[in-house]
Amino acid sequence: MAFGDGIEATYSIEDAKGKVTSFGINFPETADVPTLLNNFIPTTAEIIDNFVGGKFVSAGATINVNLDGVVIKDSPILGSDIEEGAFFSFRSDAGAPTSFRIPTFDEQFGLETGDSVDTSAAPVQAFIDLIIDGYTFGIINVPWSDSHGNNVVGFTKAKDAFRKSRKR
Amino acid sequence: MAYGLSIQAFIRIIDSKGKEGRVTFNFPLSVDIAVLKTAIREAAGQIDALIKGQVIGAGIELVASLGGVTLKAAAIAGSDIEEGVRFSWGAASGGQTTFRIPTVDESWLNDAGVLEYVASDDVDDFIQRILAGVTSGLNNASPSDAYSSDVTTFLGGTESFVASRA
Repeated sequence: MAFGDGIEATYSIEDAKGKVTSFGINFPETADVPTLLNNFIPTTAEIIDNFVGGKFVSAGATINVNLDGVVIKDSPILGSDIEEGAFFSFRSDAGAPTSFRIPTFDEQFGLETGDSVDTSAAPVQAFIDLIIDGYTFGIINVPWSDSHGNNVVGFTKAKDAFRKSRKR
Repeated sequence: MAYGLSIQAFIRIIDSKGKEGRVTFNFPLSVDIAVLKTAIREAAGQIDALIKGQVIGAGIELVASLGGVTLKAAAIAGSDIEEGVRFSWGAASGGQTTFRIPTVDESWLNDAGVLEYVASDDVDDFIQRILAGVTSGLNNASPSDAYSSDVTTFLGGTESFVASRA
């Protein structure tokens, strides 16, 4: 499976009835992201605004991450369900909680009693360490953060999380 | 260097019924984008070991600020996202790429639904922007087709209604 590595500038426009739709413009993976984000995207919105009737409501960029070479399974395991998942909760250095949900979480990593994830399992532990420590390449570290940009510094809990539509 | 208003990364996962879900992570604005891409590759591999679904893609979403430019404060009465213009472009590789801009003022279209413009008008300004991109110092951001080949020619614009519109 091939995964692209390009960039798309995206704009959302709202019409007079309040309906919103989006469109995108492709960029090569070599495009300078700060120039794109801080210059091209806003100033091009200003140009487009002159010939559309709708109102710009948001804009941004999506950078595709190439996953070629990453060891991942070729197809979902039979019976996997995105409604089944696990919530991982962390805290940031500002003391704020932050969490995310992993869909199709493998129940083999759940504790036999209760709904907690077995954080002593090696793959779970490695993943939690990645989120807390961030990823370091050379002298550059990429920290995970809460929604306000504060670095994640601690793990709180991980529990089964089923969507509301699913009965347990 | 700060990137816009927020940075999130996502990993797309499908289950055995083909339904899709996402894992979404937050990152600080000062993050190094090149290393972040590698970090997401690492996270995707680790998540694969934790799930029964299949990782089918990943990306980074950056929210831009529109606060510093002049934009209309409200949609013009009668504007409709179902009405728009599809802009077509030629790339240096010989390929083509298109995108559709909604709510384009119909006064820019002739009776056949073809975009009409003259040098230096608003639409021409936009066409020249897409062809040239933006250069800031040594840095450039110039549109391309889906295969990263630079857009070099404007092929035309035609009226485009979305499928829901008769």
